[in-house]
Amino acid sequence: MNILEVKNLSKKIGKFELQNISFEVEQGTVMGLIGQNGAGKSSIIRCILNLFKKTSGEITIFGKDHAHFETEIREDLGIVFDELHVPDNLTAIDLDKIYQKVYKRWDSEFFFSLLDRFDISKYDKVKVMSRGMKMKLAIVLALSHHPKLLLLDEPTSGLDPIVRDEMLDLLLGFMEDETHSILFSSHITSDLEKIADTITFIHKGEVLFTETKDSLLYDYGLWKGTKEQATEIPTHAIIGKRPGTFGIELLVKREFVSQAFPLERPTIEEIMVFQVKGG
Amino acid sequence: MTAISIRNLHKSFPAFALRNISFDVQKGTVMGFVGENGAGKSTTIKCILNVLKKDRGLIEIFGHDHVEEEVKIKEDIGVVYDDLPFPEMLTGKEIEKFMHKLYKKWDSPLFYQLLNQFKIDPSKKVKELSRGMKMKLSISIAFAHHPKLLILDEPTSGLDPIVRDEILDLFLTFMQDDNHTILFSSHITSDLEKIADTITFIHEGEIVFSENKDVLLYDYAIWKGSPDEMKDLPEEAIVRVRKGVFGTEALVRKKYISRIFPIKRPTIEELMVFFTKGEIR
Amino acid sequence: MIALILKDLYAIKGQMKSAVYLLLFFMLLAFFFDMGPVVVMCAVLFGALQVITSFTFDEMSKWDKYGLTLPVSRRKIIASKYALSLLLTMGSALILTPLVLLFNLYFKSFSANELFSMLCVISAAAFLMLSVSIPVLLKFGTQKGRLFLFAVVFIPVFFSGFISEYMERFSIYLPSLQTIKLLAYGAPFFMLIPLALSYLVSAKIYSSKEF
Repeated sequence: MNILEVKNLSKKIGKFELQNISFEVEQGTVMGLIGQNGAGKSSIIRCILNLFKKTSGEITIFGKDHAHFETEIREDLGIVFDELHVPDNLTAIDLDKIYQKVYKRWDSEFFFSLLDRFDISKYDKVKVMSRGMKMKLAIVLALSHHPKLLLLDEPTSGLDPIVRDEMLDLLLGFMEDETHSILFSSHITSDLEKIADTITFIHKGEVLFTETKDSLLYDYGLWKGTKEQATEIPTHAIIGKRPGTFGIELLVKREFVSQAFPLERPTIEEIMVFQVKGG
Repeated sequence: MTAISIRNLHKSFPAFALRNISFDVQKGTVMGFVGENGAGKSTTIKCILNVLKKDRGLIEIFGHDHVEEEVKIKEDIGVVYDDLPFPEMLTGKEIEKFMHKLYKKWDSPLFYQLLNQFKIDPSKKVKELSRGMKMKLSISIAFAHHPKLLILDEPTSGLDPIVRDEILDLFLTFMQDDNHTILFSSHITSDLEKIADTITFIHEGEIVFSENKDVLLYDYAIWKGSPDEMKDLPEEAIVRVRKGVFGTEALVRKKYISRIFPIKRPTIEELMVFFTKGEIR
Repeated sequence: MIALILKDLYAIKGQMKSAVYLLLFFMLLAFFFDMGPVVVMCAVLFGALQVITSFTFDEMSKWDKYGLTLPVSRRKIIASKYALSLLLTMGSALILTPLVLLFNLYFKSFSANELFSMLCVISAAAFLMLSVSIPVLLKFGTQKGRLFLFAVVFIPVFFSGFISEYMERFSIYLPSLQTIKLLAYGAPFFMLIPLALSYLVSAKIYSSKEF
């Protein structure tokens, strides 16, 4: 079952344009949204949330139209942007009182237990918290009304590996329930390698590909060698090349390359770089 | 020869202190500087640059005291912070005009060539540039006086992988010269895995390790299994233990462990997590 | 040092542009209502205020943590601000005085001597203001520093009323107009002394400042 469906989404924002964006997030899976700054990741998430009004296309969440059932859907959505958008002078206790009134299923007990688990002070005002604390609080806030779908827009940007690890743990815990799903945009693709099931790559306002993470990492191979050796690799296998100082690197489809060539497993980051720069 | 040498550096603030920081950065190498937010990376870097005044300790750059020979040393240092600290109404062109007068070895053609390569319009004001553009401008400025030492404090934070790749390429080219050195602090440890020769890990104001990267990644290993199975691991092999949702993980020293145990190579990130969150056995 | 002055001039360029429009407007006023000396006064004070603005820009952009990585001593960084002060106050006076004198050829409402003494007094006042404000801004930052400056400027102005009253009561009289004029010519040179002292204090504050 698809929890989130985006079909032929188009949106013009000044000079920039989202064109014909289509992808689905299946129930029980995590989708990683990757792409350069300004590629359109945040705009897509804003369109899904109806914060940006789409020009055309269809977006359904839990099988319902995202604009028509906006408020109903929000009850089951948890949202984290790259910053904690709450007034600076509030404490977690204040936020609990406010959110109780916002969400029908707000779970104060769960909220405070998560705060404890992540060493977030109940009494500190948001403005005295470090960036890591604020982002942890943002995730805890997004989880405490027991949402079914999490939309995360660069939640780990600027955080250190230890805090990122804690956040990923929290998200993995959330995914233990099979009815839960996540859409997760991030620049730190190693985080996505740990948690995502599928990867959608946005480039210049268009979807370059949507693939399962495993097929990305296992179907593609990275080959390094001299330019001369490179001529022996069939051209239809080559997806991208990057000439370096000492030789050349190729991103290839494994199925078209003989086993005689030693191939390394690429990272998502390398696949991105090859797709954008090594065409 | 050392490019940076730090001995017993102390610096205290009301709520935080750097204690007994010592490490060396050898000429011709890249040191990756890792640690949590607030662990003391920026404080250490600012002490090296004398932007913060150390309480005590010895810091030498190219063999000279960093305070006594400050002005002379700084001719050869390029600094990139995680932001571009120039008044935001300045344009690239204007910045070039006064930086030109500051450094003896400032190279205007190189500066404009870098801007061109990065597709930055020199007549745009700093405030009109995107974050990625700002960082590229900051790096162009740091390169344009032909420094021997680059000190980078989170220069790639918040940038996408493609831009990061471009920037790392530039650093790699810089390192082709054997006289060049980089001290590079970053949260994105995969960047450091690509470029660093040594890794220094700072935690709560103290150095946990300062080690050759290959030694770190080959000497340590990660073992996964159930708590029961862990009993078979030799005591002296276990460095840190973490209990997760899916079982127990141990950071082990390879040399104390027999080949029959299934182990995998750690990443710098995993090492950091083990050393800060793991329990000592 | 020239480089740092250049940086500040570029940074306040935008402000200067709007200042030029403002001064053009004042010039018109001056022409029609015959207030030439006032225009010169405004220009000098405006120039002095730009120095304070340059501190605000530095603070907003966290410039100092970068400035201190450059091959320039802390002393020179401070010296550049004082040089900028002299440049902006004297510069604006030098540009505007000939214009005002030109108008006066038509109006003949004041003598060149009068304008000159007024110019001296106002530059002295600008120097005094900067001598106090630069160390204060360095010590307390531009936010708190500004509050402090208000206090420093307004309290004496407020009390000057009382003082003149007391002076009469204790039969202390102001010196003659002639002496005042003489003093006025000397004022900017006297004020260079507090400015020099201020520089030493600022250099001391900045030498131990952290960013």
